[in-house]
Amino acid sequence: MNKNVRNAFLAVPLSVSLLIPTTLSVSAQDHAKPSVTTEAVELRSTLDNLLSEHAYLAVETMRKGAEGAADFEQSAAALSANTEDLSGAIASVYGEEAGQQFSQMWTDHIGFFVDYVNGTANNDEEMKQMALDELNQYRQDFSQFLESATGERLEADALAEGLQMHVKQLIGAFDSYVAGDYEKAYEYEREAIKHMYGVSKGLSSAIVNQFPDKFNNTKAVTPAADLRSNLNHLLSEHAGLAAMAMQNGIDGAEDFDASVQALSNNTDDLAAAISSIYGEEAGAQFKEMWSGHIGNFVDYVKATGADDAEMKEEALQALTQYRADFSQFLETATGGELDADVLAGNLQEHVNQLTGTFDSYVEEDYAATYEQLRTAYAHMFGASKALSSGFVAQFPEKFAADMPSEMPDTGLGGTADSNNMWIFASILALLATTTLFIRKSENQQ
Amino acid sequence: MKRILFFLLLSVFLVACNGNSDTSSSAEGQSKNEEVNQEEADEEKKGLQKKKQGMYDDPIIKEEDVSLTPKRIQIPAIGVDASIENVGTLANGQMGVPQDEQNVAWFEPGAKPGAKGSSVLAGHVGRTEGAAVFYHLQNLKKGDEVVVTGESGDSLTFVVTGREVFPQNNAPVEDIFGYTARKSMKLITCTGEYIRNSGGHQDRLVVFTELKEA
Repeated sequence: MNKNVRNAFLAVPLSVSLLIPTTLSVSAQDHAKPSVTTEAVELRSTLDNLLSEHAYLAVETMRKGAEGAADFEQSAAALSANTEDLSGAIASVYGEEAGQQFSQMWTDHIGFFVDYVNGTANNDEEMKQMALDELNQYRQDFSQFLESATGERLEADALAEGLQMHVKQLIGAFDSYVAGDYEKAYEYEREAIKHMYGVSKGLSSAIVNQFPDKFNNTKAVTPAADLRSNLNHLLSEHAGLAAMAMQNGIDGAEDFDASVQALSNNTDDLAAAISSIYGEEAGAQFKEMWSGHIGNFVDYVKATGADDAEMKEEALQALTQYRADFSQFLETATGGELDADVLAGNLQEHVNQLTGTFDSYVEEDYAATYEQLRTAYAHMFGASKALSSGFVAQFPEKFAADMPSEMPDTGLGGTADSNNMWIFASILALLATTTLFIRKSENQQ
Repeated sequence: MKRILFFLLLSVFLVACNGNSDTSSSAEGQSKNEEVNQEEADEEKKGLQKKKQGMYDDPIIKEEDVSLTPKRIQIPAIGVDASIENVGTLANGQMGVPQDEQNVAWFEPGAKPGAKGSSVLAGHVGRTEGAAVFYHLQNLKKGDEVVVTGESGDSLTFVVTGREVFPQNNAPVEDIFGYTARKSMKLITCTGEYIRNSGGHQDRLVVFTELKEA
């Protein structure tokens, strides 16, 4: 297995991540400088992407299942594609065999959720209970698998507890939705997504500690890594919620209002993240621009519903203006660490991906919808990488690792330390001699 | 900003949406021919009937943060009941130590006790004459309990899971202070031979504890 690990490992960032891999050349001396692009942080970011996307797509797919939506199959297919990517990531660390085991267990647990959805649809309490029992067994097996794989760096008990929460959150999101409590359903969805970032944090730090050499002795959990992960979370969630709000908008869905509220709550969290670095005023400015661009998307949906080509064009024009303004805002805020032109290009991609996802949905090309949705989701992790790099480069001291380099000196406590006593005694002796010398001099005069 | 407020647009849109579609068919459905509509209707029967707005009473399940800012530490097994001082990193890179040899120091930039990660507490082993707060730390056994009380009076119980002795200058500092998915708390004091010219005690004792789950 060791050989497999070594061989397969080289492929990690390339095969797994949808991001453009960077050339990583962090030498040991550079470790002191906070960085969001170390090997370990890349691993964490990849797991952030795949694990959170799993929760997001699972919630959406269950919702589509409940609705009997026309795009249910394609949504489920996207969830499967995510499973393949995750299994690939696990295989790249632990070998093909482990990857296959992972894939089997992971696919099974999705199947149990499907059973739960079907049980709900058929009003079959027994089927629902069976699905929950299966999920219960799954979490034991899966936790054991991960505890063994990580050499007990992750504890089966704690993992099982975390998985239990994941299961309950997905079920809770679904049950709330079915009950028509859309606000709670979306709040649950956001919690389910957030939960996965904790899973990714634990898993990536365990893998990195298990194979330090493979990660150039870098760490997955540092203040800089936490910033990137936080932005990974909020930016990708933005794209995910925006895509669904747009679909709900054109469908005139009952949960449209709640989905837009979730998107707006995400904006508040993003603005708070910006405020924490650049102050309240910048946070408020950010929020205004960000909400504005969501408004432009809403216009686009509205125009599509009204079949109004001119209004659609206006919305796209407004988005073009937004990307210029917003890029400039970020360039100014970061003191030039981020380049407005590059940002504008990336933002245009984001706009194209979201409108593309939406247009495919309206055209009922659902395969394309979910392919583009996954791309749009993954794109945000690149955006987060760029932003967090800029922020950290601008304020390295804010993101310095809070860690001592040496153990505390807990020998003899208090000021009466014997070393100090010697110094104290020497000073006293010195003072005494000096005084004596002065007195002598005075006497001589 | 010339742009109209987001929420204004939103409310307009809501009205538009509600006006344009009834509750059972989507806008896209309306654009299709009858045959497709029939298919869709069949599909919808297989799924759930869309329900009206309702309530789901169970509270949202999420991870609760139980961590606290430690003010007091009690270790009944070795008779410790001490106040806690907050410390950071000293200029020489060492973790700080308590001013008072009967107090315990908490490494404030690290994790809080009860949070995932490593919270680290350090105490002196001795003073010029007699014992300091962690003099008996070496006697702690697996299963012994450590109680930490926070500002608000809430307390958390940790259970000793193991202990290890590291040379002062060759301890895995990154692992001891670094992140872990466990809610771990580590207690440090000095041990080993005392060599005055080499900075005193040569080794460090680390007692590992984990939050006792309710």
